[in-house]
Formats: sequence, C-alpha cells, structure tokens
Amino acid sequence: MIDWIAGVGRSTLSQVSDLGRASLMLMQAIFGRSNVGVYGRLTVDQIYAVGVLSLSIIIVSGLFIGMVLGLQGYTILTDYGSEQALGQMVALSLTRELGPVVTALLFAGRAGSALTAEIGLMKATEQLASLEMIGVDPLRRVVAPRFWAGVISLPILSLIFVSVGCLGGALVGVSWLGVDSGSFWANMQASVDFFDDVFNGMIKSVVFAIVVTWIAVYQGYDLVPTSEGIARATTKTVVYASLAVLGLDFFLTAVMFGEI
Amino acid sequence: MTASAFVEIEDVGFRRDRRVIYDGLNATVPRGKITAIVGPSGTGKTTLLRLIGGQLKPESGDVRVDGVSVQSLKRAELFQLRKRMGMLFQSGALFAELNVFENVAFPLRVHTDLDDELIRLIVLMKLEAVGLRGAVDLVPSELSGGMQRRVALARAIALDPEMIMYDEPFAGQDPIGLGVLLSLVKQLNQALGLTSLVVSHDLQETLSIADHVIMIANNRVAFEGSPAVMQSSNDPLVQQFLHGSPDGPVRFHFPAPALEDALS
Amino acid sequence: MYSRRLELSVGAFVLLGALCLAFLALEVSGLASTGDNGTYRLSARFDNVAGLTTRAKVSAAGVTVGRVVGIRYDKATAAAIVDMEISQDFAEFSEDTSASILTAGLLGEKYIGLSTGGDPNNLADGDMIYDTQSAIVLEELIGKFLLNMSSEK
Repeated sequence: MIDWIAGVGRSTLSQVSDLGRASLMLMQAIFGRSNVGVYGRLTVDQIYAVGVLSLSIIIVSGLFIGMVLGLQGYTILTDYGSEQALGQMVALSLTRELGPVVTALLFAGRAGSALTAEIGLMKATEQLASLEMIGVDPLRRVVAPRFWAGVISLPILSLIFVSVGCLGGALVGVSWLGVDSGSFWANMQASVDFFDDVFNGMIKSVVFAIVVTWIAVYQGYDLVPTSEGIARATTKTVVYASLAVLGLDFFLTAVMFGEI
Repeated sequence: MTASAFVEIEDVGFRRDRRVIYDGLNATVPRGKITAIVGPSGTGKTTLLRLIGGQLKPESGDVRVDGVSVQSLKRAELFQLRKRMGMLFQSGALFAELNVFENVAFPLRVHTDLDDELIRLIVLMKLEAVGLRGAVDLVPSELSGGMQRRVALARAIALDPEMIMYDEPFAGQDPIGLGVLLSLVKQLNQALGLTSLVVSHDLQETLSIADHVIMIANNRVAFEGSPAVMQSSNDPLVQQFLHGSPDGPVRFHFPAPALEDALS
Repeated sequence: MYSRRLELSVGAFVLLGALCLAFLALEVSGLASTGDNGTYRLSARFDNVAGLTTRAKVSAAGVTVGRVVGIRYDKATAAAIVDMEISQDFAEFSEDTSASILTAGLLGEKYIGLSTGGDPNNLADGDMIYDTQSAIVLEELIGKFLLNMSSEK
C-alpha cells in the first residue's frame, strides 16, 4: 500500500517535471533573442514541410467527411421532413467541431509524428549537440521554426478542411440527393454566424495548433536518442496530442457554446 | 605546467541519474598538444568532453577552459566560448539537409558577416585540408562514414578554433580510413597549433600520435602523463588496459552473488 | 530553384487559406448578405416566445428578410419584446403587418414570419408590431387536447 502511494507520488513528480521542462523549452525557443530574417526563412521552410505537405490528406478527408455528413444528415432529416436544414447541419458540425478537431488529429498523425521523428533523428545523430558546439542554440534554430510553422499551418489547414467539407456536403445534398440549392445555402447562411461559429472554430484550431506542435517538438527534443526511443516518442506524440485535442475540445466547447 | 594548460579539471564530481560517473576528477589538457583520453567503456569519456564544452554541468568542482570556469557562464557567454572550440562527433553529425559546402560554411554564416566569395574561399581551403574539395556538392548521405567525419572535421576547423575535441574519431574505420584520420589529426595539430583532445578506444593508434594521456577508470583519473611513461607504468589497471587482459583489476564477471548461492 | 518552388507553394498555401476564410465568411456564414444596404430595426411584442433564439431568421412570404437580434422581457406588459434587424432591401412593410412565431418542419427551428397588411403607411426604423401570434407550445396544445377529450366523455 505504502509502495503504491509512493509510486503515485513518483509518477506525479515525474509528470510535473516533464511539464516544467516542456514549458522551459517552449519559453526558451520562443522568447530568446534571434535574427528574424534567418529564422523567418527557416519557418517558411517548415511551413512547407508541415503545412503544404499535409494539404492532400486534409483536402481528401475534408471532402469525404463533408459528403458523409450530407448523406447521414439527409437520411435523418428526411424522417422529420426538414431536409432544408441540411446545409445548416453540415456547416455547423464542420465549423464548430469537426473542422478544428479532425484537422488537429490528422495533423498530429501526419505532421506531428514527422516533427518528432525529425528532431529525434537530429538528436540521435548528434546534430543538435553539434549545433550547440558550433554555438547555435538548437532551440532557436531547430525547435522554434517548427513550432511557429505548426501554429501557422494548422489553422490554415482547418479553414481549408471546413471549406472543402461544406462543398462536399453540398455536392451530396444538392447535386445527388436533390435538396434545393437555394434553401441549402440560405439555411446555412442564416444559421452560421461568422464570429460565433467560424471565428470560435478558428480559436479552437489555434489552441490545438499550439498544443499539438508543442507536444510534437518536445517529444522529439526530449526523447532517448536511440531508434527505440524515436519510435516510442513518435507514438507518444500521436497519443498525447490526440488526447489533448479531444480533452481541450470539450472545455473549449463548454466555454464557447455552453450557454446556448 | 599549469601556465600552459588549456583545460583544467579540478575535483569534478558528476552523476547521471543515480549512477556516479566522476568522483573527484583532476586532469589538465596542455595547450597546443594532442591529449588522448582513454579508459574502459562506460567510464564517461564522452561525458568529459561534454563537461568541457559546457553541454553538461558538473555537480561539484570546477572545469576551466583557458582560465574561464565553464559552468558559471551564462548561455550567451557559453556560446561565445564554444566558437573557440571545435568538436568532432562520433557520427560526424553533419546536417542532413545541407550539402557538404553548406555544412562547412554553416559556422561561418552563423558567426561571421563575411561575403559569399570569402566564405567560398575559406570553405574550399578547409575542404582541401581534409582532402575532400572534390566532394563539395555532394550531400552527406552520399559519403562514406570516414568521409563524413572528414567533412565534419573541416566544419569543426572552419572558424579556426583553438581547441578541437574528437569523440571516437577512429571507431569503425578500415585501416586506410583510420590512417587518413590519424595523420589528419596530427597534421592539423602541428599546422594550426591546435590543442587537440582525442577520446578513443583504438589505444595503440591513439597513443602513437598523443603527447599526453589521461586514463579514466573507476570514476577518477587512473593515470595521467606521457605515453612512454604509461607503457612503463606498473599500475595493474594500466597494464591490464594496455594489454587487453580479460581479467584483472577490471573484473571479467559483472558483480553478482557467488555462483553456488545463485544456483541453490 | 528548389527554394523558389518552395516559396511559391508556401505562398499558394497561405493564399488558399485566405480564400477559404473568405468563402466561409461570405458563402457559409453569409456575413455580407445582411450588410449590403444596411438594416433597420423593428420590434414585436409576443405573449410567448418559447423556443425562439437570437439569430433566428425573419421571413416574409418564405423569403428571409432579416434576423432576430434580441429578445427581452417587458415588465410593464409582462410580455416578450423581440428585436429584429430587417434588410433595407425589404423596407416596405405596412403598419398593420402581423408577426407570428413559426416552426420550420415539425421539430425545426423557430422563426418569425411577417405578413404584410393593406395599410398605406409603412413601418419605419424602431417601430413596434402589435399584431402578433405567439409560439405554439406543444405541451399546452396536448394539454388542451386531453382536456377536450375528457370533457367530451
């Protein structure tokens, strides 16, 4: 029993110290002095790696999720004779929930794991130590550009996901199932508010971007520099980031949409 | 002796997790000479290089580089000091996304305002020194392990440091590659007046070029002096290490209860 | 050359994001459609607004002409006052216009339906509509129905 309590204590301590180290790392990476020109350039490179290269999976998933929403929504709504509300249903699900959440989950799997593996590999091959010995802070040179690239890319990907999803829903609802195009879009426009829905969805997305990218770069920077360590850290990134996104989503939803 | 020491290590204690690595370590690295750091595996030879480079901090004691205590430096000051040290990592640690030219040019671009033409000149000179000027446009993955290390060496000397630390430069090299690296270490030391610090397991080869040897075992310095003195030392630990005897002061068996107790 | 292509694709990526934001603002949330020619405000007094929410649409003859911007309780008359913003494009509602709270489909959203009357004078900004029909509360309806059933016996 005593051992068990001690175990709980030990794991709590290690969790807290992990969180502390992760925070310190982020602080140093973001708030150190730096040459904006060089690091801006590196950030653009990373936006390509985490943002542009994630584009195809985001567009394809967005399209299919929008189409599924259109199909499912239609069969349910026809039961109540209110299929004109299809546009509203598709758009609200996408802007408020599915857009930010699914994009963040896909991003964690596609770009987050790649970030962890890349930084981990640089650590395992002593490139990070080498940077330090050359007198360059790897936090500023390696971690910071990747962090900013993630924070910038994910909300953009989320916007693209939602837009493509709405078009997918319209494709199924209007073109295939024959919901009136006018009432589909009019209903959507009447019920979706730019600030309450689109803007709040984007705030969610920015929060997810910070958390997912932070977890990814920290796991990469802090891993045990062996092939096993990299494999484990990559898994951890996807698991922790997904859990964090889903958990945070509940709180953000409660705060943003709870009173309605 | 102290006046010409580039690195002084005084009574350093260091632990990793709960395992004691050093307990009262004392050593000096003379200026302008080749110093070899040898010792059984797992005694923390690489750790010593990291302490000197300021990547790790000792728990107690003092590490001074050119009279400056490394552990008391702020981050920015530490980075300033590191410009005066080069380090060659075991794997070479070239930046995978840059080609050979950019790898060698990297420290110059970061730390100097030289124009492109001048950087090009310096890079080609450094690559010429390691015999790889022809490989300037290749990427690291197209080079053999030995060539990667030579490029890394060119990068380490790009800023004309006062000291170079070599972490296992000869590991896993065929005899020719080993010979090339050995002569490079020696040439650079003589031509540039560098203080060189070589951590290696290839004992005979390393001793053949070293002026000064530090042997680490059992958390402290077991021997410090010239290679000739080391050969004639009658310390059983030094003799076991020199001749590679399987049993001696360093036991063949990992510490365990008596076999009879374990089997009964 | 390589880095030029990279810059181009990152630029295109950011522009695509901006384009999607514009699409979401204009097409999905219809941000611009209410603000074309400005709006004016009408109010209506209902005995019961159960189920009506802000941002519910206001329609006339099935066409959306505005939306509900506020619902408040008027102590003096113990009734609910609903504020609506009506697009300037639909400025011609006569003074005897009636407003009723309707439901889209059986379980759909509540919205306000305006039906214009014959009065030559039109409603202007800030006017109040008194001729209203309140929300149908399903429970009350069922209650009445049951009451009728039992009294018929």
